[in-house]
Amino acid sequence: MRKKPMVTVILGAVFMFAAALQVQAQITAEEIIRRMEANQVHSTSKSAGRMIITNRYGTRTKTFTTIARGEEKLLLEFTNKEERGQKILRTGDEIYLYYPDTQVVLRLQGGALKDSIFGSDLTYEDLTGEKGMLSLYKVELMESSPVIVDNVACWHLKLIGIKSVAYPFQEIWVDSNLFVLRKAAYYSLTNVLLKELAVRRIMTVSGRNFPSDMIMTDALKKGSSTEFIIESTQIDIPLPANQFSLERLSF
Amino acid sequence: MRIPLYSLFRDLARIIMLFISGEGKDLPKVALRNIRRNKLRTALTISAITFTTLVIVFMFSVIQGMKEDARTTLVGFVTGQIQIRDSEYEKNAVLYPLDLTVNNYETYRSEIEKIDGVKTATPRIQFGLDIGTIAEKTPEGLTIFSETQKGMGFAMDFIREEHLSDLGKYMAEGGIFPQGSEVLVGGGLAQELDLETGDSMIVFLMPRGYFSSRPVQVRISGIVNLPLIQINNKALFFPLDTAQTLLAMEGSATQMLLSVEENRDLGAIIKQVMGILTRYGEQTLEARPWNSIGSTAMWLELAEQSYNVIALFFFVIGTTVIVVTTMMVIYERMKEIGTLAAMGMTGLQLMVLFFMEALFLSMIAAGIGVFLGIGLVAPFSSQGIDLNALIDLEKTDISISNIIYPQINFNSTIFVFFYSVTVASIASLLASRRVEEIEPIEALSSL
Repeated sequence: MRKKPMVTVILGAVFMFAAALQVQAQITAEEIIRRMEANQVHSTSKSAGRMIITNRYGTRTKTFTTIARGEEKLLLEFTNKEERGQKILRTGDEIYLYYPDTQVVLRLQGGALKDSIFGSDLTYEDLTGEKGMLSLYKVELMESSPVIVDNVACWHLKLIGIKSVAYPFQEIWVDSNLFVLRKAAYYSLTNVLLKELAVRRIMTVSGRNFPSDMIMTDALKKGSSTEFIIESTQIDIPLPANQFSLERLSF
Repeated sequence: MRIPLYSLFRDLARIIMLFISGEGKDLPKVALRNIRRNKLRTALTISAITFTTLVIVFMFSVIQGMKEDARTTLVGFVTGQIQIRDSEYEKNAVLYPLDLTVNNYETYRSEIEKIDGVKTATPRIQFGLDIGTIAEKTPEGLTIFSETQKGMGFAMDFIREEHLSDLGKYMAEGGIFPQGSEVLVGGGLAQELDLETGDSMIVFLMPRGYFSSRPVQVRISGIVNLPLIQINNKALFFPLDTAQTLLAMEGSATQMLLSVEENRDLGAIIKQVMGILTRYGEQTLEARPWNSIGSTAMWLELAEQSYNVIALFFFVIGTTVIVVTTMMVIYERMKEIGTLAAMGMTGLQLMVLFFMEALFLSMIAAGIGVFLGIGLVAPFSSQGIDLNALIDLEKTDISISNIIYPQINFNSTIFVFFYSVTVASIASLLASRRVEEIEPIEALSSL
């Protein structure tokens, strides 16, 4: 077999590298976000998981199930002993907490949305306003090519809030192959780092990839972290029409 | 007019020398005769100084009562005379930490109460809570709260608290200490939320070791109008055993407050308390006197300074009245001065004569003023003065009781007496110095 001349090999490699660069150069920040959301946002889903909360009082594990429709509707029910039966219902921008023992519902609004969810590093505000990132943020690519984060090539994007949002600035790193969030940093209006999120594991269900093990740390609280683990998920399942209504809370 | 201090001393020295030389021996008699001679003038002068002294004595008593009230209120509601708590509690006090506790207090409480001078040792739990406010009912029977309000919870043994907060004294409605799921509500909070005895309410509490609040339904057994507005507007009082269950704190409290007999050496008692705590292996606990807890000492100092400013205000007004009265008495007697000078009295003798008159008058007036002041304070010191009738305390941030009990302070009363006498005498001295300089003909033609 005739050997290819060295020049041909080099030219071929250069051509392939240029072609790869061309593909990368063509993708926009908006496209990355769209592809990530197509992966992570499901028409309907049902999951079970646990939240491991560590703060100054120690570590507690909360187990839960969630039912969601798209980005705007979510029902989270705690299944651990201490909070068994307590629910968080999100419909659009409204958040309701349901307490089964007293049949009391607390509608959260205003400053209460900034409260921590059960002592975790997540706030109720984190659950609201996700009507699609592109309607809330202007997005920019920070680098023209992927960067390596924990051995994974990721697109590095900057998000600048264009509406009233919990975090006016965000930096996110999106897996350049799977289009899944890998890391995020959340900043205040004055550019102070508030929280960091690291994705530790990715789950694939029905060909869709999404984070299944994440850890969030509050940059303003020493020794505080919340691990959010999804243990099982079903997607595109049928749900009753009134699944996300107040009358269903006491079911 | 410049009045150097040394010239005052010089004049006083000259007066003394006048008496030593014997030239002034008849002047006190003449001064007394002058006082008796013009009864109307004497009565008016005495009235002015008496009234001023009386007002100052009374105001000092009210202010003393306010200071005492601030201390008693703070000790009763917040600190106790001695407080036992976790040594890390103060740093985290704003978070109402339920993990920094006084555990198993029943094992050593009786020993602490046996310490000479200790009246009671009573456990308390202070905790944060949210009160459900605006609510609506759904057809499914759910109660939806759209708003909550931050409040503070106090869990206490109401009987043992007799020597501290003594809530029974402040009971406005109900009159029964709560039991089970009942609570007492601060008057300000009840008014704000339109609550009455017998009403139910939902409060959200976070038990120890939990990371989330949960709603609890409580019934209001009474309303208490408390002297500390910050507490009156925010507090709910729970029975200790109920709160211990709700907060998962059985056998624990966040503080143990000690009530101690008056004038006891708190340091010596603290030493004994620490000995007991050490013996029971309570290494994380500390016992501290009331004035070293949190910002209480600073707060009280600030309150005292505010009261001192009020006192100074009355003092300045009082001083002005005395000075003006005394000086006017001299200036309106220029013709008399001219006559006496024409009859041969020297300038120094005239100055001493008027000084003696002022001294005698002020001693009589200040004595009467102090006497009447004490007489006026006496009934108020037992019945109290209802400040609510004078100012709307609800609209102020002043942390004092609605009713203030004026208290006579021996030292300040003596001080007021001598102050009145001194001010009147110095004012007369300053005015009568001019007498020394004027010619008889000038004085006689001045009127």
